[in-house]
Amino acid sequence: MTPHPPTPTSDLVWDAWRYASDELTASEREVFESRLASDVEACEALAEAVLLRQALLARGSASRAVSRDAATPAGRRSAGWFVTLVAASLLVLVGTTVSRRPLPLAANRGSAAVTDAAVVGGEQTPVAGDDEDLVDLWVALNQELKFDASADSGLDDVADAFAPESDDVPDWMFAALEDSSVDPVEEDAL
Amino acid sequence: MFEELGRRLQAFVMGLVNRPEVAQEIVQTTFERLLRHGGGVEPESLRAWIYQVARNEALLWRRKRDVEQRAVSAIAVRPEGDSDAVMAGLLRRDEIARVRLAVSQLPQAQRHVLELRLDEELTFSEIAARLGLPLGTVLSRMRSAVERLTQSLASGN
Repeated sequence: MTPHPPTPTSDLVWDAWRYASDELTASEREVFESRLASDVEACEALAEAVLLRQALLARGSASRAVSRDAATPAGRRSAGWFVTLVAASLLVLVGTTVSRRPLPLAANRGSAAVTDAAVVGGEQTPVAGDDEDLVDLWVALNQELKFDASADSGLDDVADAFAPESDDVPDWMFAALEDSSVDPVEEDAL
Repeated sequence: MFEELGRRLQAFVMGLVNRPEVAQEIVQTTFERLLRHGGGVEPESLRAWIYQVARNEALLWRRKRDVEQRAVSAIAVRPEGDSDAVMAGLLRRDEIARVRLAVSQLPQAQRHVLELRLDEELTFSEIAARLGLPLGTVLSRMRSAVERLTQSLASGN
């Protein structure tokens, strides 16, 4: 005896499927059932048809369950939480990246103030350091601003001093470019 | 060997009685009879013997039920509820995966008919009307799909 019989004929497969799906007429049904009395292959074909039908229904119900879950309020809430979580993660990632990126050198008034504050603080504080360095820098900057109530106007003066009077490139900028003694490592550190 | 035979036997009986719990009982009864009376059965006839005992038990149950319910065609009514869940126990994961893969590999025309029939539960006439095809074409496509899927299901046994 073999537990795995050969694949039944095409007609038998189709008849068994229709029987299992309740698609046979009463007379066809009677004929098929009488065949089951003496034909083992017909019995096997019916078993196969029932298993196939169940597998197909299981496939379909699984797909519908996924769609239904996404469409339910709970599913939508889950999706909303997921989107929120992803957005929050991206925000933290961007914030971390920005906080660790070196600040540009004297590109605008704010960075000029930061550079000054780092120097005024008495030590060469790396602008692109870790979080503690940034906190120290922020404290030093605030202290410097409190020291001089007119710090804003003073900074404006500093900025004005560097502001170009025309579109021409100033001489000091060429001088800075020609100065090859600047250590790139230090520049990176800044 | 008997585990696989029992699984297939339960599916066979399920096709006759359409009640999973009844199918389970009939399979148990069949194997009990095998233990008590199957000693004289030739090994090459064992499978046929088991199927016939199970079939007889299933028909006996149907006759009793028909008398009780006075509904000759009640077998055609498919019960809702836990039937699919119980039957799902007969299925193996790899079978569902194999059938799912086989469905995805069906020709588009066949797959469309199959999905309309099984997933949307349309009749073949409704499918023919929706697709603008003759009924015979729809049946032919369904038949081809079933044959292919049967082969794919049997290929793993």
